[in-house]
Amino acid sequence: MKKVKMVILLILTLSLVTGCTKNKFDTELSLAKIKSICEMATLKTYYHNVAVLEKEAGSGLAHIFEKDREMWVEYTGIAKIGIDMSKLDIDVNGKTIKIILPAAEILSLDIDTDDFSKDSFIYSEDSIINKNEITADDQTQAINNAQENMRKSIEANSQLMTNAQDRAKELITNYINQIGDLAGIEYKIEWSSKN
Amino acid sequence: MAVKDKNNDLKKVENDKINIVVKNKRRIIPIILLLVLILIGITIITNKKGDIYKITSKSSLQKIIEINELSTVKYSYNAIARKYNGKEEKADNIEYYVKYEGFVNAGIDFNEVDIKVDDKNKKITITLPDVEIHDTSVDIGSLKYIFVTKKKEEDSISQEAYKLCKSDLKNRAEKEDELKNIAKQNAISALKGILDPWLDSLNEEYELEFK
Repeated sequence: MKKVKMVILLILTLSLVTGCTKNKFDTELSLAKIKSICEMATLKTYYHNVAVLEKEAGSGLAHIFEKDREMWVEYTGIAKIGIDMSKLDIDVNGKTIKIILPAAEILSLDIDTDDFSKDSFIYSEDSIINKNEITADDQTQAINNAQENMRKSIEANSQLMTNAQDRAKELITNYINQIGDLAGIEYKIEWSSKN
Repeated sequence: MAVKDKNNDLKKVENDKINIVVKNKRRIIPIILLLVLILIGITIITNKKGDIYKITSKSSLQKIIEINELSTVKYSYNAIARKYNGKEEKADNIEYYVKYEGFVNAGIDFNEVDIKVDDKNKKITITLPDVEIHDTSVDIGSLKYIFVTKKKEEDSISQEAYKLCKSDLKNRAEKEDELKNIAKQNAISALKGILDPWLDSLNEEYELEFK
């Protein structure tokens, strides 16, 4: 009887340790989607990005001797800026052409993989006894944060956005002038912006 | 007789000692178990994995290049890429899986569009350059991993996984035969859309031809 009591106590102890796990199921359809777009990218910008991630040591007995950690990542981010041509308005009235140009926007963000490698990452020293690892998810989160920061930096750079829009004007003007030269007509273009 | 009594007494004392030890053991074991349970409880309650408490980043503009890309089709994809150990792509060799979201843009170089007008035959001929892939973009924030073999922090897996996903996306896009055809058709529609206001304003009717 006493042995039975001991076994029950042991089982209770084990169940406390293992605890309950909560299973979470996410189902996502793998979906290929082809969509028609009309985007004119006029500037390709390269940014030098540095991300710093700080991860604290865990608390409690299981994390004793863990150290606070730091990771630095250095890489080149690429952004393409341009206009959505589907929002362009063109009105031809004789020799006068009125064009309403949409505001420039960031069309894509990317990472330059030519200089993105293991050497791009630097880690602070970890404890020998109990490791506080910087995981792949942590690395991804840091780089994603840097990309978002790059996006905000570009959007705040009004000069750059204006340059992208002006470049679109240049390209459309060349196109119109080509038509004009061939038709023997000198067109006057009036520009206005949609902001 | 006295010796015998003495021996009996000694035996009795020994037995008593044994009984005391057994009784004490019976009391001590539950106490030890209780202490272990309390210790485990404290460990579980106070145990907290280390969190990322700060991410900071700085961006500085390095260079700007002028481009003339008219993208007319976007191919979006959610997929799972596999990293194999070695050249043979089989289930036993998988080191990890990485789920990602990305897109491919295709279109033409807008500056290379050539326009010819034949007044005699009332024909405008527009020659389009070849369709190209403009972007193979993977959203690094969408990367999720399942590891089959243990990876060390020094492996800096995210950079390897990112390149793997880009390559995977590029391969999938190349298998989509219709992608470049759709991009070309859309480019024709876009250019037609820009030209239509002129054609409407011309006194004579011109035929529009795309090559």
